[in-house]
Amino acid sequence: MTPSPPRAPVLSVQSLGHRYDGPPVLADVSFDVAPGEVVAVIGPSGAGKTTLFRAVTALVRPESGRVEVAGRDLAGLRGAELGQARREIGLVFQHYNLVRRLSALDNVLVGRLAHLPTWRVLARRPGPEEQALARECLERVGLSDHAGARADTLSGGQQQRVAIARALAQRSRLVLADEPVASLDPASAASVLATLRTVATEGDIAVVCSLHQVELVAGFADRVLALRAGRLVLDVPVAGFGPEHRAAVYESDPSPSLPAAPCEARPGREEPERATATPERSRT
Amino acid sequence: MTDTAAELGAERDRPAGAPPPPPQRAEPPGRTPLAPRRLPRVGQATLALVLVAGFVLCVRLAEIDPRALAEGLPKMAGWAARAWPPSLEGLDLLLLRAAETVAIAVVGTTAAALAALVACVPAARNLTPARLVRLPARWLLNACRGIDSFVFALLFVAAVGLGPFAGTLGVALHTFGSMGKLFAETIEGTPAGPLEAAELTGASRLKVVRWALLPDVLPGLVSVGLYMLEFNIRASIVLGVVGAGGIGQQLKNAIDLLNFPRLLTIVVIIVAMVAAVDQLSARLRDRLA
Repeated sequence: MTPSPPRAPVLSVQSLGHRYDGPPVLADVSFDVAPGEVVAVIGPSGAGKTTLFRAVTALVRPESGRVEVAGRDLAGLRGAELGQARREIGLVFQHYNLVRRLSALDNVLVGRLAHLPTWRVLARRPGPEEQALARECLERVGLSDHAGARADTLSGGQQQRVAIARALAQRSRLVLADEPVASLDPASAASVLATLRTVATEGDIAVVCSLHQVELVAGFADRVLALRAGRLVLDVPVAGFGPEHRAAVYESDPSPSLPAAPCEARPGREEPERATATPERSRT
Repeated sequence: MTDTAAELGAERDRPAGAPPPPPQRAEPPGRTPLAPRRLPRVGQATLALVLVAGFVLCVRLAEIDPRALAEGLPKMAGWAARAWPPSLEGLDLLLLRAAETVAIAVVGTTAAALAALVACVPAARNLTPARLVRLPARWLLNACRGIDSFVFALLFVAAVGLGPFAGTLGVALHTFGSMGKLFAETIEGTPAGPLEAAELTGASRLKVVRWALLPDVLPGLVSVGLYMLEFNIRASIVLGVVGAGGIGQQLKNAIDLLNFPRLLTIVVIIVAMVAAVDQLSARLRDRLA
C-alpha cells in the first residue's frame, strides 16, 4: 500500500493486444503490478477482462505485446516449462473449481501437486510438512475448523475461501482472481474480498482481481484499472476513483439508437457462436 | 460455465499456432440454435407415412401371427400345470451350475473392469483430446460392445472347448466394450473446472488425474461396474445354451426333455439368484451416491 523503495513488478503487461475474429478484444494494454499490490480490474462485460486473465496465464496466446510474470516472459513457453511458469500464478475462479468429493484440506493440497513427488501424489500421501502447510493456508482464510469437510458441503463463500487457500498453497507472489465474488451473496462476497485483502497484505502477495460490482472496489483494492472495449481507460489509485470515473467506464456507448449495442457488447466473448445463445447480461 | 470451462480446456490442449479445433457444437451460422428446425406440413405428412409403412414392414418381417399364439398358449398352460410340484432331484448339481453362472459373471466382469480402466483413458475426450488416439480407442470399444457375450462365447467354445471358461472369456470381451464406453462417459461427465484449476497450478497430467479426477469419478465407475455385474448374471444364464457353462445348459436340457418340474426348479433358482444380486448391487450403489 505504501510504496516503499520500488521493487521489480510481479506482473508486467506491455502493449498487450489480441483479437479473436473481428474487432480487437484487447488493444495496447500496459500496466505493472508491484509485489503486495491489490489491483481491481473493472469494466463492462465484454470489455476484455477475461481475455486479459487468460493471456496472463497463457491460456490465450496474445497477438501482440508481452506478459511477464516474475520477470519471465510466458510467450514462448510450452509443456513442462509453461507448467513451471504457471506455478508462480495462483488462480481463483468465479465458480471456485474445487473437487467436490475431496475434503477442504485435500483441495488446498491441489495447490501443492506441482511441488510434490509423483509417488506421493499417486499414493495420496502428501507427507507431514505439506499437510501442515495446507493447514496453515486454511487457517489464513479462517477455515481451519473445516479442514475435513467435503468441498461440496461448504457454502459458496467458504468454497471460495478454500480456493484462495489453494492459491496460497502454491506460494506464488501473484494471485489472479477472475470475478471471484460474481456468484456470491453480498455478505459472502464481502468476506471473500476481505480474505483476499488480508492474505495479500500478510503474505506480500500481489492480487489482480476483476470485479463487476464497482461499489466493492473501495474497501478492497489499492488501485483500479478499467477496461473498455479492450482498452485500458483508467489506471488510478483507489483514493482517486470517483463517481465521474465510474460513469466514464460504464456509460452506454454513443449509439443511442441501438440500446442492445450487440457489436459493442461482444468483442470480449471467446466463442462468438455461443454469444448468440447466452445473452451477455446473464454473466453480469 | 462448465461449457465455457470445457472450451478453456480445449483451448489449453491445443498447441499455440495450431489451427483451431472444429467447432464441437456445429451450429450453422445465421440460425439461432434455440429455434428447432420445423418441417413444412407436407414434409410432416410424408414422414408420418414413411414411419407407418416402415412399421408395417417390420410387423411382416417379424412374422407376427396371433393365431399361432392362440394355439400355443394352451400348450404352455398345460406345461405349467404339469410343472407342479417342482422336482428336487439333482438339486445339488443345479446349485453348482448356478454358482458357475455367478462365477462366470464375477470373473468376466472383473477382468473386463481392469481392462476397461486402462482403455477408458484414451477413449475419454477430456483426457485424450487427440482424435487420432481417441477414435480408434472408441472403435475398439464399440466393436467389443457391439458383439454380444453369447456370440463371443460361441467362438470361444470352438477355441478353448466347452465349459465355463469359454463363457467367462465371452462375457469379459463384450463387457470390456460396454464398460470402457461407460467409464469414458463417466469421466467425460466430470466438471472441467476443477481439473483445469489443478492443471493450471503447473501439475503434471498424471498427478491431476490421480488427485483431482479419480476421487471424483471413482464412485461412478464402481456403480457402472456393479450395474454390469447385474447385467452379466442375467447374460451368463443363456450362455449354457451354447455349452459355455452355467445353469443355462440345465435349462436347455430340461426343455428338450420336456421335464417341466425340473424346469420350474431351475426358473426358481434363476429368479432368486438374479433378485439377490440385484438387491445387493442396488444397496451398494445407493451407498455410493
